[in-house]
Amino acid sequence: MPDILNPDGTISQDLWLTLDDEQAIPDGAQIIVSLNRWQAQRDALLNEAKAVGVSLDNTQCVDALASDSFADVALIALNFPAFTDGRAYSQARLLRERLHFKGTLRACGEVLHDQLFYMLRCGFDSFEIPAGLNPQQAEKFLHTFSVAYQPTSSGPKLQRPGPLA
Amino acid sequence: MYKYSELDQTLVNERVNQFRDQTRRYLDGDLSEAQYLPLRLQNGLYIQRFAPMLRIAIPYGTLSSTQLRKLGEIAQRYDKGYGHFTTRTNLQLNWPKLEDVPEILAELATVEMHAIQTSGNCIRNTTTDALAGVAADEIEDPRPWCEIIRQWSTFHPEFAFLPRKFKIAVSATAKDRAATRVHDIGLHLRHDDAGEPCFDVIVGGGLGRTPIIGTCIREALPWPHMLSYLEAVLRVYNRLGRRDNKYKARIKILVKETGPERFAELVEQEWAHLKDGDLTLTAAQRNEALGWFTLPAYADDIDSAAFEAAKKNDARFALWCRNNIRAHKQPGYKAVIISLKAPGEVPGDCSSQQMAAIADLADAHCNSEIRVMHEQNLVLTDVREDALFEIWQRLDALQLATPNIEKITDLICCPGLDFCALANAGSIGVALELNERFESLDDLHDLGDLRLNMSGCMNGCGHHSVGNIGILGVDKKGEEWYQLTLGGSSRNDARLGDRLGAAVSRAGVVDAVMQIVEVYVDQRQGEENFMDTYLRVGLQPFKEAVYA
Repeated sequence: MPDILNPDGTISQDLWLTLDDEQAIPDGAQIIVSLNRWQAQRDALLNEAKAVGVSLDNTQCVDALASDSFADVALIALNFPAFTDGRAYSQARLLRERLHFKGTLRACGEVLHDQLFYMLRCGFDSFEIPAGLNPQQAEKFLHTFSVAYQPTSSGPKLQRPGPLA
Repeated sequence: MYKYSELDQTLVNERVNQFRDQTRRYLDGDLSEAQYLPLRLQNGLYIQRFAPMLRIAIPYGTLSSTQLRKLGEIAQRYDKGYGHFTTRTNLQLNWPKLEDVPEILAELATVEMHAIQTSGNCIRNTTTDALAGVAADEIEDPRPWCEIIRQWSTFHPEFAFLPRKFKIAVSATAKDRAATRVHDIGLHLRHDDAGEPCFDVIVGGGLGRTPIIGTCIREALPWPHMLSYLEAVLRVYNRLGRRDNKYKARIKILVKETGPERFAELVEQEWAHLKDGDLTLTAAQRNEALGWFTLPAYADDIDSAAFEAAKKNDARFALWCRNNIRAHKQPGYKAVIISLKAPGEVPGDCSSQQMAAIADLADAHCNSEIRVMHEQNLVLTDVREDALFEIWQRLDALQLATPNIEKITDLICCPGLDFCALANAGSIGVALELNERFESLDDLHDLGDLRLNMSGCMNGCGHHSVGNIGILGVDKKGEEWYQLTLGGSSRNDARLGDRLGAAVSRAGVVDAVMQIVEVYVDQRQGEENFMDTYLRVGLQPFKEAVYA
């Protein structure tokens, strides 16, 4: 099983299994399914799996979904098909700040060292491991900057514009 | 001018460390070319035709003498002893070595400067009127708002990988000198009925290969909501902007394809959630921001008679005063425009020696402050009238007093084929030839205000679409040709130039411009400037002259 980077810089085993829409649920598994499958089989999935996560395309308009769409979802996987495609940053902030999603928010796809800081600031708290990451240095890349100008739900608080705290 | 807080300095220092590490990883082979590319771009570093090009940020065009002196030193030590001021009011170095760039950024950080977000698909340097704070026709100083935008947009975690680059301009005068209608977002500051500042928000303007004049999607946005509204626009763009074709990725295409009314609705829907949230600006924040830009102590012992006498005694000085100085809010003071468009020089270029000398002049006469204009000239904003003669003499000796501001030889020009990897055609050579040919002609006919803009390719860095006369370099089977447009403007009367006809050859382009100007001289009535005449007589007489 591949490894996963945590927001504190530690690396742990990925306990989540991503399933195709047709794939049966292994006993007691933590599964990640498509939004379609989640919407169609919600109760059955919750009954059979140990925990359910949902993977979203980065074109999915998350706040157009019903407000309880992700109730009982333990993880949402957002995708970066290329690291230059920044749509999932907006999705992450909407999930955290507007839909108040409290589960794990995982960055998948082309996750690179130098984007980890931005991802963390937008509310991600689980990351596919960037290629070639030196585990000793993971913490450094997550916290490249100790300060920030923008208020978001995670990371350093807004300190400007306005009087310094 | 704005001084860094501890937070600003920390951020810039941490950026220097980050980029040093990124460059080391790239040089060690740990980062691929493709992975290093957006990182270096967000630090203003391009790989150009001959060498890397480094673009250094000059937020809203404001520089201290210390900063300008440092830029001159850096250009001397790491480059060929000159820099190029751009239409985004930044400074480009055309020949630095890649390995030196981390060191250059470290030196910049010592004078509160950086190259953050001067390139890449992110929010770029915010620009405004170079006469901000002193212009006689100003409604309110736009710089506090620009600085608030600079902070909000710097390392914005959500908007670092937009579909395409994103440029914001702020205008706070009745006469728009910031080209706000051809920006991704243009903010027009004015006062509401209660006298409070508010903004008209213009979205989806832009130059490049599909030039479009922006549309106002919200009138009179109250100032506390400036950032939350910007955030709403950016979020809609980040989510819906096209990413399948880089030539259709700017927000102007999204606004055009969605329709401005529908786009405005989408922004309002998003803003409904953000309004009154964490980004809402408070009175305390506004007051602090106003305090970042205090006006200097103005003197009242100015010998304006000596200034008038000097003009009478020296015709060259008088001509320079007529063309290169601007009205000031404060009686007895003037703003001095330093022309970087001397005959025989590349438009916008400035040597290290000139930078040092201008810094000295700013120390002596302008509270150690210099502004950069998007027309690629510099400004000393707060000069006593009785110091103007001395300043003119110094500038004249430095080849910085060409009396051509807003005249035909004050042309806006990109680096073109001579430097840029994208260009189809040379722009600088044509600019030099135009300069030679028009210098005497302007004297002869007093051509008045005439903006000539030139770009080496359709990306439009030289703003050709909004030149009264626009010149666009195109490639035809390996040869350089030039497409001419007439009647463009980036002012309040913003409009895109009309295509004159088939492209002309390199050998014929300067002649064609001469013919266009001759038609104007022939047809103008009274005090009409080029634009007035063009709008009255239309394209036909110009067409007939050029394609006769």
